[in-house]
Formats: sequence, structure tokens, C-alpha cells
Amino acid sequence: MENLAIYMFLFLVTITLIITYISAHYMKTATDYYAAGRTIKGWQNGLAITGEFLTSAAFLGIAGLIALSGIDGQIFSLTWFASYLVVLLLVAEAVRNSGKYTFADVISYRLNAQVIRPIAAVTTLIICITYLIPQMVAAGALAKLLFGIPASWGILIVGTLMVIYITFGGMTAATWIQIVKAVLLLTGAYILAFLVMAKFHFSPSELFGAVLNTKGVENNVNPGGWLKSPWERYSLGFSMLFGTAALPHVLMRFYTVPSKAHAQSSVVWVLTFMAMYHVLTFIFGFGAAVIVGTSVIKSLDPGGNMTVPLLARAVGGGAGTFGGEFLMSFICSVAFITIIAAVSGLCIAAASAFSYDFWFNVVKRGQQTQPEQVRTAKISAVIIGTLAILFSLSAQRLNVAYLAGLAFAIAATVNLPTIIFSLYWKRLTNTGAVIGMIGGTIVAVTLVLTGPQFMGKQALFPLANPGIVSIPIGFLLTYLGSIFTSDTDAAHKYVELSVRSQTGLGAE
Amino acid sequence: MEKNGKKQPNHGHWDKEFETGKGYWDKAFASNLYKEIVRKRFGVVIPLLVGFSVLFFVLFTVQQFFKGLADALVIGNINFNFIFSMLIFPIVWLMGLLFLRYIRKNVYPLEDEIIKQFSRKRGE
Repeated sequence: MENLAIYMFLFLVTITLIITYISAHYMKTATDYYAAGRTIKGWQNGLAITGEFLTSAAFLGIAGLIALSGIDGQIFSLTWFASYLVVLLLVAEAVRNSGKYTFADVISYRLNAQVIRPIAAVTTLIICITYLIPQMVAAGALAKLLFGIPASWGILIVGTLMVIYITFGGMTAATWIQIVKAVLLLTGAYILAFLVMAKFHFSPSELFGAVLNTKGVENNVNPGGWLKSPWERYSLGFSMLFGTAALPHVLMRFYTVPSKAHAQSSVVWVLTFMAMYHVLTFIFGFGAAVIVGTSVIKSLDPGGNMTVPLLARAVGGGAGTFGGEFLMSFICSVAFITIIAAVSGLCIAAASAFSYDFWFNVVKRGQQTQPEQVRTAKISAVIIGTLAILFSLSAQRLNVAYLAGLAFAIAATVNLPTIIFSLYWKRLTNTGAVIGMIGGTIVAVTLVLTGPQFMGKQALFPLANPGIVSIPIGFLLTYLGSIFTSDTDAAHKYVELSVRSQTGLGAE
Repeated sequence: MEKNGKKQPNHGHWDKEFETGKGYWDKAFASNLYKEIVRKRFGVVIPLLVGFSVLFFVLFTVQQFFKGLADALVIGNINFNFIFSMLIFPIVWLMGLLFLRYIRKNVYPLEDEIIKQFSRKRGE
């Protein structure tokens, strides 16, 4: 099985390297590097964003959670999918109309860019790096299980490929790799779902019945098995629903399309593709609980991340059969490519925050030629990629699961109020935005580090996901900071930003 | 720059106003077209956002506080919670699709019109 998985993985990596090689030929300007030359069509961007969001957590994590802890795990499927309606209603068109390459373009439009851009760059770097590390550590663990190589090698392989894709291929390569990955993942998911449902005569009721008749998981079909506290459920749910609209690597994708119309249609494509995937997660979770068994899943990984590969082997014919080993190898290779594509998307967002928001706009004050901008972006990608590899190598033995939650909490607490107030509230001032962003970061970090994900049973703050507390605090800090100060320039610029964001007048 | 008693746009003047951010954007902001765009857009965005939030609030509340209803079998072995959860996929997808169709039909023509009017004033 190891050899088969390695060959499949190498085949997929070859495809992604060919994409990178072709992309490198078309990359001449900063717009080509940061925004794929604004040539991506709506459906292509929809697939790329779907790929961005179908990370290892979505592909491996949700099924494991449903298999081991019950239907409550479906909350991630529902909220990650539905969060794109908020993106469509509030930010997609406005962000596309009023920015150029990063979300900091939008918030610095009417505020003091020399102050706001560095803060936005720092929050973007924190969000992307904290999101990157758990993905890369997971890749290491997956490589150890799948290919029998040390976890450090897995991290090095993922990190090196990520740096190659982003340095040579920029956003074009990152986008097409996401598209290929999303297609592969959807294909694999549908083959697997078909084979699982075939065992239950394509009847969801029969699948539910099998779960109800399996000892140890009979209560998994009912809610309440994992999310015990109502506050935990509301907090997790609403953070996920509204936090996506503030993730820098997602917002950046709206600059890759040629117009606002493409930006909006791409979100409807995201809803379509995300729905296509997430309606299946219960099949994987329940199917694995019945067919594979929870004790077998836990014996390989107590977190349940091997649920989908084990299910693939079982429905493909079982261990030792060609069908079983082939399907498992395919699913594992797709999972590995999923992680590489996800970290590539995060890496380019982080590199853009440093090279464009900080270096080009703050240090160089917009005075760089196109080739200089591209060179800076590439150097940034190498530096950030190297740092991510080093952090991940040193974090292997630590519990890094809380880092993904931290990234989401910072995005929702810091970026969301600033973006929403920038676009829709005239009274927002520079001071208010700075207080909201710095205060929000402190609040989000403190609540996560004092919460159960980091401190376990000694937690000082009861919620694993602090969104229900931290997001309102982020809004409140920005609001209070604004009403007690005045900023006539920001107020006047609101008129300009409003017209531009709502109509597309003057948009690039 | 007056003709028939009305002020006529001066392209050079507009460019200057555009650069300083005064006049040009204020006029666009004050125009009836812009007000109509905002009215039409938020006339749909706000009800959809409220409906969306209520939908999820009801789902989470049923899952947490109405266990009897959530666990009740509705179709064969499938319970109410699962049916409700799965219905969210088509409901949210339809909300997105209908919003896009509405915006394309009712807002994009107005946006095109305001861009046409004010780009001409800028001399583009």
C-alpha cells in the first residue's frame, strides 16, 4: 500500500509542478503574481475557494468527529458551507470593487494607511501562520502513517512544495492547484459515498438504522454527543458563520476575477461545490462507525483523522485486496495534496501581507517597479515558507490543535469589525480601527490561551471557541474608539469608498 | 463654463476633483442613482441576513433545548434534526442564487448607469 500511495502522490505532485511551470511563464507583473492577472472565471474561482476551504479538517476531521462523537460534528459542514452566503451578501462585491490585492486595501482606503496596513499585515501573518502550522504538523503525521516516512520529512516535503508553487507560480499556480485538488477531492468523495451507500441499498434510513443498531455509537445520530453546552454550540456556530467573511486568504481570491459580477457568481459556485461535498460528510462518519468500527479508528489515531482512508479501504474490498488498497491510496494522496494546496493558499496570503501591505506600501511608499514588486513577493514567500517549516518542525510534539481555532478567532474578532465598519459606517475613525484591531487581537489570543483547548480542565475561560464573546468585543472596541474620537478625512473618504464599493465606479 | 444657464463638466476640473477626492465622489454619493442602488441592495441583504441568522439560531436551539423534537424519527430511522440540518443546504443555496439573480436584474443596470454617467464626467 505504501508504494501505491507514493506513486499516486508523485503522479499528483508532477501535475501540480507542471501547473506551476506553466503559470511561471505567464507571470510578469505584480497583478499576475498577487491576483493571477485577474483572469480567473467565476466558476474557476468558485472551485479554487472551495479547494481553499476543503482542508484536511474538512476532508479528514469532520468525518472522524461524526464517527467518534456523533452528528454534532456536522456543525462544521453546515456553517462552513453557509458562511459563504454572508460573504456573498456583505463583502464579495464590495471587496472586489474597492481593493487591489489584499483586504488591507479596503480598510486602509479611508484610514491612515501607514498605520493600518502594518497592523493588518501583522494580523494576516498571525492568522496565516497559525493556520499553516497545524496543517503542516498534520501533514507530517499523515506522511508517517501513509508512506512510513518520519513526520519531519512529511513537513519538509509539504513545506518545500508550497514554497516552489508560490515562488515560481504565484497566485495563478495556487489557484489552479486548488482547482485540481477540489475536482479530485469531490471525485474521490463521490466514489467513496457511492460505495458506502451501496452497502445500505442507497437508503439513508438504512444507514441510520445500522448506526442505531451498532453498540457504542447508537446515540451518534442524535445531537448533544459532542457539543454539551448551549454556549459552545452558539459560539462555534456563529463564529464559523460570520468569521469566514474576514479570512484574508479567502478575501484575496476576489481580486483574481475580472469583475464584480464574476466575484459574486464565484460565491454561488462556492455554495454549489461546498454543498456537493458537505452533504456527504454524514455518510463518511456514520459509514465508518458501522463498517470500520470506532475502536479500529481510534487505534490508528485517537482524533479520528484516519476515518476516511480506513473507510475507503473497507468499502474498496478490505485490507490486502487491490481495490481496498487502491482506493485508500487514492484517498490518502488526495488528502496529502489537499494539505499542500491549503498551505499554499495561506502562504501566498501571508507573503502578500508582508511584501505588498508592509514592504511596498509602508516601507517603499508605493515606489517600486513591477519586477521589483514581484521579486519582493517571491523573497517573502521563501522567508515565510521557511519560517512555517521551522515552526512546524519545532511544534511537532506540541498540541497545535488550538492554533486553527486561534486563527479563526483573530480573523472574526479583528478583521470582521474593521471590514464591516470600513464599508458601512461613516463614523469609523483611525483610532477606533487601531483600538479594535490591537484590542481584538489581545482579547482573541487571551480567550483562546485561557480556554479549554489550551489549558484543558484548568481552563479559566469556559468556551473552546470564544467567538460569541470576542466578536462583540471586537465590534464594541472599534465602535467606542470611533465615537470618542473624530477623523474628518476618514469620514469624507467614506463617501468615496461607499460609492466605489457599492457601484464599482473607479474599480480596477 | 456655462451653457444655457447650466454648469457643464470640465474634464480637467473633474480630474482635479477626482484626485483630491472632493466633488466628484460627493456628487455620485448624492445622486438618486446611488441612493436607489443602496436601497435596492439592502432591501434584500438585510432580510436575507436576518432570515439566515434566525434559521441557524432555530437549528441550534432545537438541537440544544428541544431534544425530544430533535431526536423524533420522521422518515424511517431519520430524525427531525437531520432533516432540518440537511434542508439548510438547499435553503441557503437558493438564498444565494436568488440574491445573485435579483442583483443582476435590479442592481447591475443601475451600477452600469452610474459608472457610465460619472466616468463621462471624469472624461474617461
